[in-house]
Amino acid sequence: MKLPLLSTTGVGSFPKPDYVKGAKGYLDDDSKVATEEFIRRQEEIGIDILVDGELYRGDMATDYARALGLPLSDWTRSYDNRFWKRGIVDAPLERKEPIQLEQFKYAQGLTDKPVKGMLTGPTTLSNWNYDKHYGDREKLILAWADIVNKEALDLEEAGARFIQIDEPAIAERHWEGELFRMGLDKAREGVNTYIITHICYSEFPMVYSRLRDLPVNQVDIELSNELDLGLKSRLLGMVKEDPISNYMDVAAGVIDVRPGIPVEDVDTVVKRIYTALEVLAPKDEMLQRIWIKPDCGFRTTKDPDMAYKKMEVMVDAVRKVRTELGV
Amino acid sequence: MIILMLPLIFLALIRFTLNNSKSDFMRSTVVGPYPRVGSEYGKGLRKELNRFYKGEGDEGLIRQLRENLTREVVQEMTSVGIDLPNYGLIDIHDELTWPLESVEGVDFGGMKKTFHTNIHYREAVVNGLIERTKRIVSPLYDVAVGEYTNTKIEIPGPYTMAKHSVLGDGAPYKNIAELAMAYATLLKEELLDLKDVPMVQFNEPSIIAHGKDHSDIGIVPELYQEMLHGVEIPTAVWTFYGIYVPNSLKVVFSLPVDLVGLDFVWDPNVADLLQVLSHDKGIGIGIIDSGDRGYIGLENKDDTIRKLNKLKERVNFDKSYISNNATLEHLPRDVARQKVALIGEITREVNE
Repeated sequence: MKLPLLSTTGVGSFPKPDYVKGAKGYLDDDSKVATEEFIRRQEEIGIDILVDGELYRGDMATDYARALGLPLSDWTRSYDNRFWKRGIVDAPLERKEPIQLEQFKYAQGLTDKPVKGMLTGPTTLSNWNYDKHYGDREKLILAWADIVNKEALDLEEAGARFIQIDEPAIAERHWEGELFRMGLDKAREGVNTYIITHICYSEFPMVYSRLRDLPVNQVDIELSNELDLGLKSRLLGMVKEDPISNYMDVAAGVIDVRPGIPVEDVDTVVKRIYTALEVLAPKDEMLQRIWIKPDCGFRTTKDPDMAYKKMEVMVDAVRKVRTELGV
Repeated sequence: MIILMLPLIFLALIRFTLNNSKSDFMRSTVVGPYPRVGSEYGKGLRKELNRFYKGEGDEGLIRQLRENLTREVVQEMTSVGIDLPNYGLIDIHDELTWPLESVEGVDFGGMKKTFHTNIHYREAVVNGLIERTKRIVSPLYDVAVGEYTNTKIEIPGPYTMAKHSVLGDGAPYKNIAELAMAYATLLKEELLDLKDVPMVQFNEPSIIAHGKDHSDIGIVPELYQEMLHGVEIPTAVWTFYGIYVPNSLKVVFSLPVDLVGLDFVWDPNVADLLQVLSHDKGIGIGIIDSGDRGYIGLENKDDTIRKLNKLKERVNFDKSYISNNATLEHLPRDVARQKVALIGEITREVNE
């Protein structure tokens, strides 16, 4: 499949419209309507690789726990006013039926553009749920990896051209780098399609040198605030010295999706893109390895109108850069 | 004249008796922000803040809910016998850089994980001189004191705040050490304004946090010398999320504070180091697991008491506190309540 240079994409989630209530991780009539609307809007705005908006989703870790029949804790806080309910692993993990397959098939059935198949990674699932059964990190991570692997194989068979395995927990226990890699390895075992791992809001310098060894085709990384800091950012300094794009494709986050952050102007995003290209594509031939995206899922933004505006600004900025570069 | 002095003599006798009463009398405290949701006030606050972010929502209602939640949280702690609660810190964005909202010279940049956890903090980007623009301590602290006088203040320490900051283009500080000193000076200004506070606790997880660079902890004593010079309030420094080595313990014991909080969950062997390092401090014994590594169970009370009793030779119990090791926000509120109740119960039994 030929994609434009500096392909644009999303990370996954989008704020739910008011009529979608009580999202529990599976598609219902309202979330189907919302998904169709979101797919159309992405096409209109001009996004190249679409995401389904996860408008059926409760939480990226909780939904797996729920699908596996795990008991759930009450709310725990992640930041500001964002909370999630953690699953309590109290028995061997076992998948009864596919968790994300129907959602992907529905969204892909609405469009000819590629839609990413979305999964949560094994380390994130291990860290964001409680464990009362395995008592051993390797066993826990590999047990979750087995679940994710079954999901990935289903998505590939259903025609997913891109599968994204979200691992925002990558730098939480950065001393477990080998376990992290093993988990991803297991999760993609037997899967030949293009695999992306999304990482965000972490102390990336702690894990940067290990990114190159990850068994994925692309790392999707939150960067907008680092790009604003320029080379005062420790991370960007490391990227400049040894671009991760030497080893794999990179999707660079250029839109800050956090609640309360105003819609950026196009010039700010253009500047971020050029800063990203300075460190990630110092040679022209590396340009084809770079995608452009928001930092994280737009669900964080909370306001759908604002999220659409941010998406439009991102696409406008990319078009401007493509024109200026003559690509 | 003698008759007039009798009440004063009586009061002095009471004070003397209390100060020289039964030794090894441990007390209890709670460390870190407390879980917010898990009650009607907590749920209401969450809902109203969500509405606020969408451009709806009532600021007055949010303030009221926060005040009610604060009173509720303090009651939860004191009703199970916690001697020195905090105010719950239910209004802070994150426990590492929140004081800098009251400061000029700082913008908030990217969001990052707090150490190994899925709780996030906002990186402070320093672009100018650090200057206090308003009181740092939350007004909710006053609400808590209205509920229970003996409530402590908790603030991130200057070293930890500096380690979670970055020097932007306009920063007048050459390096993180200079920035940390600026933070120490800032906090000193705040401390000198405080009156009738039973304790101010500085949380300094960066001194020992696992996997982080501790090569510059040598600057910490100078920070605290500067910050606490002329301050007469009892103070504590609390450390967590890591393993202790002799150097890190020497650093914390050298600080001009009354109490040093240690993480006995991450490092049960710190007790051995206490045997060889002399000190005159009270110890905050962070022995109840906050769930930061995914453990949701309750400790066995008798096992915990056994561990505490082994510390008697190395710790001055009269000056010390039993507590959780770090913020209970890693746990849902129902479990946090049980943990706090356990702290209260263990403290009572240790003192029997």
